[in-house]
Amino acid sequence: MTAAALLALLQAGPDPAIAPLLQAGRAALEAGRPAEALAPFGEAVRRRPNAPDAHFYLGGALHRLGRHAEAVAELARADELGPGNEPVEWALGLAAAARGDYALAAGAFSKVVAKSPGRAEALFNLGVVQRRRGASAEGTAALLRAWAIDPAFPGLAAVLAEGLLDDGELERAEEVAARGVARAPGDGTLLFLLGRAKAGRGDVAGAIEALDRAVAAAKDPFPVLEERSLARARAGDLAGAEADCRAALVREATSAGMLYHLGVLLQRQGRREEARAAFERHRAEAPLLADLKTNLDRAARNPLDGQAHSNVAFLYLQLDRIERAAEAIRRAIEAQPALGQDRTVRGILLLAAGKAAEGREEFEAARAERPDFPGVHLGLQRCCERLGRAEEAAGHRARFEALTASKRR
Amino acid sequence: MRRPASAGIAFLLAACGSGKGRAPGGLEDVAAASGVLAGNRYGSAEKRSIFETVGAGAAWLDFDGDGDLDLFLTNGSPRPDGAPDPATLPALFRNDGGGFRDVTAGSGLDVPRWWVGAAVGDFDGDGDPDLFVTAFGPDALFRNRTERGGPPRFEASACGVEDSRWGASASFLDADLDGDLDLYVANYLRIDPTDPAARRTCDWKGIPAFCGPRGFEGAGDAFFRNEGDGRFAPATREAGLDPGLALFALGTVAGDFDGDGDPDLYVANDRCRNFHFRNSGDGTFVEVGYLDGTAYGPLGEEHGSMGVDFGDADGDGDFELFVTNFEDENNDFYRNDGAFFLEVSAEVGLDRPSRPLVGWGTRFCDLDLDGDEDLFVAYGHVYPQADRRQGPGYRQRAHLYRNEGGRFLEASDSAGAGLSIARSSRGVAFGDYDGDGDEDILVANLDDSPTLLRNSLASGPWIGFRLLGVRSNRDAYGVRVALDAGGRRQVKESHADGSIFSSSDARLVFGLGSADRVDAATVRWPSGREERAGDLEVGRYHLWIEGAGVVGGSARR
Repeated sequence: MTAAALLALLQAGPDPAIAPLLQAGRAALEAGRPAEALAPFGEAVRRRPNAPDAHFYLGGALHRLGRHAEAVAELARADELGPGNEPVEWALGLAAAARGDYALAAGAFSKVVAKSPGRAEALFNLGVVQRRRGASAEGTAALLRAWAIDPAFPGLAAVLAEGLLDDGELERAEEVAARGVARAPGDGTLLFLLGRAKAGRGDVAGAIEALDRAVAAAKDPFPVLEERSLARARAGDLAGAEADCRAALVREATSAGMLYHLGVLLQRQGRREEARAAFERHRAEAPLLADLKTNLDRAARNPLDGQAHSNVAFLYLQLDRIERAAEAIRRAIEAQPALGQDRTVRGILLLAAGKAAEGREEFEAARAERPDFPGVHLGLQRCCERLGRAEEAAGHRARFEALTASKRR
Repeated sequence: MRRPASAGIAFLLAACGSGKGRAPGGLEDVAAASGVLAGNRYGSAEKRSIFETVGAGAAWLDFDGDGDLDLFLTNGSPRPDGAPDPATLPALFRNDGGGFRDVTAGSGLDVPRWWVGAAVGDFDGDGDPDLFVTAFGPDALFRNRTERGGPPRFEASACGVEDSRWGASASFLDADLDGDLDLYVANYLRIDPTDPAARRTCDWKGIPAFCGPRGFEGAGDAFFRNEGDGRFAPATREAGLDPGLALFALGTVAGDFDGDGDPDLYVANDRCRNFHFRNSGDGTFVEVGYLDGTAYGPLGEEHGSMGVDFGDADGDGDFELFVTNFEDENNDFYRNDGAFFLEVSAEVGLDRPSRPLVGWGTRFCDLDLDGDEDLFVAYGHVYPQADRRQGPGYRQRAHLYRNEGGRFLEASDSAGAGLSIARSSRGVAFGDYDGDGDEDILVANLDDSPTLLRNSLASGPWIGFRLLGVRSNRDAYGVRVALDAGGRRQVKESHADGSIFSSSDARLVFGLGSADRVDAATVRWPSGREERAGDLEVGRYHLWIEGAGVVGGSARR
């Protein structure tokens, strides 16, 4: 069906054969009951598989329910059947972005922007997804266009300032953040970005002032404390920098940067033995943390990259951060549902649920299938540790290290 | 066997005359016009494996002793499996004053192999520069047998350094201060380029590209002690230079970073922490990088490090370290604060210009002769696929960072047409090949012809020193010279290593800025001897011999 045909259809109203179904589904949606809308919309699709509006509404309901993969499929079908329809493209962009398919989302939002170049919301969404997929220049360009249309658009100042900071455009980042702060003086995120921009431009005193306000305003002060610690160190306030650094480490113990920064601060204060301890710990964990950062970045760029999530999970398992490992595993399964059948994956989820004995059974079963998979021995180590089987845990640790030795640096 | 220092003085003096005239301009590529017509090949253009991305190197050396710098360039092979190609040879160019002439054929250096980097040192103390060349396959030490005025003659010398690991860069240094040059070789990683596994594809920013270095094993570096009889003995472990883990070494430089009179070593490792080996004074070393701030980026990040050099960039008399890194990682500038090095690239303006680029060869040198150390960095990506995205591509421009009171300004746009050239550059060797008192720059470009940047950035006063050790190593590597002029002191240390895959002119050139005379120069030799000279004529090189001082009547005492 062509765009003109779809438009004609929408103007004329839906196909009478499915109109009551669509009406019923929309009523459920409007009443805030998207689950109830699935049946009539699904039936409409069954009856008229080539009706774009049926797929559109079904996709919308699925999106509302958080079933993003299915929503994307339905909306993509609607777009295919009736190309050039802005509401469909908009919904597809939203669902694709929620699913983490930023390339698809960028394509959809680009079409919306082409039709409505003055729509700040569309430019904002396009900018966000472009940046998330790594197309930073295109993303920043879209955000700047949105900024020119409506600088007060919610969230825009922060996203744009952050993008400009990442691009090294410090002066413009500071300008955008400052304008945002002028509009919302208590916005912790904008104050934080203003501090970062000032620090990057060498205005250390200005940075500290902004970061002081950001610490007071921020919901999550961890990144602000990190930034202020660095700024204070540059200003020569080593004690203040150390206090911020330690506070940040309490919040996030696996922050390699802060761990190292603490060593530097201690070294600069002449506390050599304490510095050595911090550096030793950092040195021991740095390769792991670097791998973790690489995979987290990879997963952030492409949330559909199940391997990246899986890598993150096993790295967290090495760091004995089981909750985070489980969280990563859940994302991996979301990206690649087949992973849910993997016994090591199930083992991690059981371990995180406090079921070490059941987890151990899963890992043992996995070992029978893949005796040389390092992750199996890592999982067994963690299970045995929780079960008080120290000797067995040490054996699995040794096996894990032997299996990974050739790849370690 | 060491030749008495007096031998060869006559022809050395030829290298110490007045500088030639310098035309103002900037950095101009004169490679083709000067006759430096030599391309190189390192595998396929597609670069399906990390193996095909490491090379090419260069070395300045006066192999024929006629007083000007000749040039050596490494080469690999067009075959992605690394097999030698008889038609793909390294190149030796003789400097004939007006230009360069290819004299490779019959020189003994015309050996096909996957050569990577070069290091120059008079390891046998016979008064001429020998050439060590790293390779995938056995490294080789070519003993210089060239007769004065005769054709080049190098002989591969079976002297114990023919390591088969994949060599990258190398440093000659007198680690134990016994007067001869030992050798440190930075080796990259273990790979079998014929194995399909070497051509696995990984995700790089959403683009398929070759994998590595992670996933490979580091090759492990090597240290060879000069036995004084023309042979070297492997001594990596006994010298404390085996840190117990093999990383992916690419760059190396030796220098007295802690100011205690002996050479320390810094090793730039790709994609992991870097090593800083502190010399204990007896030729043994302790790895201190992770404790003294030089192993990582500012927040403890492991960087993909490549090139390295040291210099007194802030004029306080000790040496800063500078390391070039991969894309998205700023180059690291480690300020020497005595007991600790602080990474301050952001504070000195060196972080932002380098972040989008992949850095390779580098050196501190006073390119504009204003009396402080500038920085030059060559860039070039490893993935040809970089051309598929927006932003810097596979071929990248080199940068000149001018030192302005301790802060560095990226000044490439105003530094001449030579810096508008984009290549996938690798090794860089610095040397005053035209004898006009400023350092010129040879950039080795991968799968391409080199760029020879003739320097005419400044026309201010300068003074240069050619140093000759007697008790100390003959090349005078590790000699520290402090020069007082115009109310300030500049400190430099003679070294040919650093950068990456390359060897530079070890003569020391000091720009004098607004000063027109030198008050004093003080030399500290590795032997511990200190010597001083005053009222030296500017605008020329002086020959300074350990124990004899400035000779040849060039210094007014």
